[in-house]
Amino acid sequence: MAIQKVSVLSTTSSEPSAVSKWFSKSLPPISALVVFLLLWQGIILISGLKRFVLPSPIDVVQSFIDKSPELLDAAGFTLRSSSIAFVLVILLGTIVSFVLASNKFIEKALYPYAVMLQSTPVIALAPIIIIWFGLGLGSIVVISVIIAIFAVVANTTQGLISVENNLQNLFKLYGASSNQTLLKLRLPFALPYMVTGWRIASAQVVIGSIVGEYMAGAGGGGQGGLGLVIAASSARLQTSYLFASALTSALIGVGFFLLVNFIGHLLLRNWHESAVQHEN
Amino acid sequence: MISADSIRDIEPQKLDARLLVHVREVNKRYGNGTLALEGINLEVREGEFISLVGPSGCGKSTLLRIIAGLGDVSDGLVTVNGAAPTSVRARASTAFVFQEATLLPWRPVRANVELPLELQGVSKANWKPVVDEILELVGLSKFDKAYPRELSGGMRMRVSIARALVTKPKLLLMDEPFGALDEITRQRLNSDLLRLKEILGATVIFVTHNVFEAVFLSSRIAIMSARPGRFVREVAVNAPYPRDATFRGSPEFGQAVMETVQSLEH
Repeated sequence: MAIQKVSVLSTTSSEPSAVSKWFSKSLPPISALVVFLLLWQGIILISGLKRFVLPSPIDVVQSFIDKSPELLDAAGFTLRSSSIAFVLVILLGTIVSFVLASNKFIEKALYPYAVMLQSTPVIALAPIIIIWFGLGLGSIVVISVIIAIFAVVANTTQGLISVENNLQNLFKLYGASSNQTLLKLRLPFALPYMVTGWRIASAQVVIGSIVGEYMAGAGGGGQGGLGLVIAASSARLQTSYLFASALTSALIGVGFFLLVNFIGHLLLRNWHESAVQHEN
Repeated sequence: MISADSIRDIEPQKLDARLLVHVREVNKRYGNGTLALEGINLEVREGEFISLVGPSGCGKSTLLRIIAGLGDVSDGLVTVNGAAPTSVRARASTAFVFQEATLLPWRPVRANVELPLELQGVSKANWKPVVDEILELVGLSKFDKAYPRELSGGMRMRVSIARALVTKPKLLLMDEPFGALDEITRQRLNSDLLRLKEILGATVIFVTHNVFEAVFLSSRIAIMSARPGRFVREVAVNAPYPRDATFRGSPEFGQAVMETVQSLEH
């Protein structure tokens, strides 16, 4: 009886339309945003805080509109340096991981230095990097890569050394070559770990690019990006512009993350628990 | 088991033709000094179904891995199909089924079963008929596009067995393959395994600690004692193949179960 009831329920209740589905999903965060903006505007009205200390949401939107050519330009540059850094991070990070995972000795020999590089504050390295690569895109990308690469290396290496022992035995029993074992076993086995690394790195390359631009941006050559905009507007106490550029940076970061998430989903959707849609 | 002495009476060529696995005076010591196997002698002839039965830690899986070429002996000699277990000749004639299904989760059933052909460099054009046949035999034809996570434990084990049999191995080594399955599934897979063995003419060495399973499947049961692992007795199961579920109710079945249980208690 219970089963019948359930099936009656599910057949009679009409399928929710795409619009109402989207609405029910978006309503909570949108209402939170509205409440937040109202509170923000209200606090400014009541407290009478100066605009350069805390601009109102309306000021920020105004600044967005007034400065949209500059912001778009800067965002375009940041997007470019982040993309270059992201591709490099994945390529270099994966190669380094394969080297680390190929041999216990190499892993033990190099891992401490990878950790050391990760722990060194980038601000201490920036002057050296600028001496080597000059102001502009080169240094910005290098700084971004240094900040983001560890997430890829740590996760990919973990995946490569976690391959189930009996799966390796299976390949050994059928006389698999080391190339076959790498391409048909270790790489796909490590893929979910790698995707995790990419996800973390996708947010970090944007942060890294902006930090890089802040320290090594070259305004004159149009190689500044959002980092330089942030540096300049903070020096001029253009607080609402500062807010607008911070928000733009966040949007780029979220966009990057969503893109990588989508790629990860495409790669894993058929077989990995993290991407599988469960019906219960 | 035939002792080393009695072998000499038989004509050598004839013997070699039928002797598939030969384990002679094998000792196995682990790195920490523990003696895992002591004085193991075993001869397996083509067409036999042998179970290794014993308590946990008696070294039955260790012995199976040595025969598969996945582990070394400390002393003694092992040959499979007349060659060292790690040789190409031995490897080409052997297949191993692990305790877990050990499938590649990113591959659908068909691609999992194709894996051995792929790794051994069999031309792709020849895969389909062989794989179709084996999927039909294990009853998975309709599931060839399913991913492992979509299958039950019993079906995953069927895929694992199909993968092992796709190369038509002479020797099938199975390490407690049905240990994690429920009793009904286990009994069905036992019957299916015997059927597959008859059709494909493989020789099987099967590790289990389930006495009923060992008796139902085997022509011989080698009983081992724990620490160090030694053969204490051998029970011959005097019932012809093919066997079906009614065999479980026969006097021969009861007799063999009793003998095996008594030897284990010994």
